[in-house]
Amino acid sequence: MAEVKLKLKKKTKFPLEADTITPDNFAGKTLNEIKKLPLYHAKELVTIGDFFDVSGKAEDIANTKIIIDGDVSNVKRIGEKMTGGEVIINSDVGMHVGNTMYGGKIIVKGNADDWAGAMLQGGELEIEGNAGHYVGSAYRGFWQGMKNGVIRVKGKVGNESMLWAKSSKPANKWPTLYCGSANSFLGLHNHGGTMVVEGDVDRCIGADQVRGTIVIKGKISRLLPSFKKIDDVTEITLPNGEVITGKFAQYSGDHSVSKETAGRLYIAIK
Amino acid sequence: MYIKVKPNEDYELLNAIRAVLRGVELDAKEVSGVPMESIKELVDILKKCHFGVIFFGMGLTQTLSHHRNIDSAICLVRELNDHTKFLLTPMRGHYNVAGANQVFTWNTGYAYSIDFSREYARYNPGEFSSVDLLMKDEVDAILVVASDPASNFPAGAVKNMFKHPIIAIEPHHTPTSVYADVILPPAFAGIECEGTAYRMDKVPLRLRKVKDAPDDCLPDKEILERLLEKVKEKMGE
Repeated sequence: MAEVKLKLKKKTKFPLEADTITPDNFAGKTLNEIKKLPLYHAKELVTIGDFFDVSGKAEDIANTKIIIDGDVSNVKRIGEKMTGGEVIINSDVGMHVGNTMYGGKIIVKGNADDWAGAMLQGGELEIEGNAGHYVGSAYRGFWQGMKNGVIRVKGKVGNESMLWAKSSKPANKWPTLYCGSANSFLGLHNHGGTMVVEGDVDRCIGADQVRGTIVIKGKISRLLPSFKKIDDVTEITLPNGEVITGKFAQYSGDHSVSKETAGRLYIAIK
Repeated sequence: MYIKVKPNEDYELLNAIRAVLRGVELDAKEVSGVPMESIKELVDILKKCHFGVIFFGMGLTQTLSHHRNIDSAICLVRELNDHTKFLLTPMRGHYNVAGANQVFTWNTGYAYSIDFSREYARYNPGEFSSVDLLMKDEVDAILVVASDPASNFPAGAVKNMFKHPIIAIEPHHTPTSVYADVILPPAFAGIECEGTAYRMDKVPLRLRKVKDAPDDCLPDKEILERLLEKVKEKMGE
């Protein structure tokens, strides 16, 4: 796999909008062409070469790996709409990392800001630290959010993650989030998304869920009144085929959306 | 009927009301401090009325769950329209907030938090709203029009705001105008000049002039137009 190395020269005061930093844009280009790709610094149109040291070599999309060094916590939209290849970010990263991506893989070695993996359509996003709010969520005004792909967050995800996630059985698309712990409103308006939380979660989990699966292996601070307990289970099969064992209480909901619902919430019994 | 809700548990109550409206028997005996019988009685009243309106204000939008309370209330109104006619109206906290939202919306398609840095309108509260921009210190100059962020915004945002030059178009003595570098006092619309204000239910009202403005105070519109002219001149447009 060919590697392209980017190193941020100096952290900027104003955010950089780097939606051109994707394997799709780099594929088949020479270093000089990559350096000339546009970026937005506040409202000024600049180039990658102005802010990053570029080295290495790019091949076709699937065989291009972008490694980003330096503190890019103020760089937004890295990996936007990418369809293949790999991006490795060795620090914290700014907002919208990997939003609307269709394929490939992004690994963030630090924390990610808000809207990480928003409206993901495929591919994999791995965050080794914590993630901000709206992980894998729909942008404002969209009625269908994350449609496929996997997001793995080792630490905590913020509020309102996985908003309007939508699965498709005929197309075998199962949007999935694995995270260490979660804040409030995880899986709001869920339409088939799968969420597995290793630790504790805050309030209003699965609010307005129409269908989907939420598994919580820790504690929940406050359960919504519109969830009804069905029974206790020892084995959960996720829609993507994965099996989780352990003692769980099974709830159906959210009943505020419809009287009969395919939405399921599992909370570990300790 | 009076219902006393525990602070910060509005979302749970709206959620329970919607479930009861769907005809679901809930496990809980009380929700947000409200007994289940009261919720059922309330749902009955809501269903039987001929024309209902839910008025909401900052008590709902500025407590825990914020905009999601309204999300739930919108869903409730949508569901109530299966039974009867129902509406939802925001009660605005200050004068002519509805007006600013209206004008933004018919100009750009969005009501607030609009970013023009890429020469087309983008909307994303949490990224482009003034509090977030100030919190992250992503600004270097501030123009305040008829508002008082110094007394309304979070302390962190106000602290960052005072680091940069502030221009205030403001006739009053407010914490913002006291610390502003430039103050442009406008004439009061409806007293010293003509204008339009939007009522809370988005009905535009024509305001008439009663007396002359003191000295050379200009209407807000003219101040902004003259500023724009100068900016265009400087940008070479």
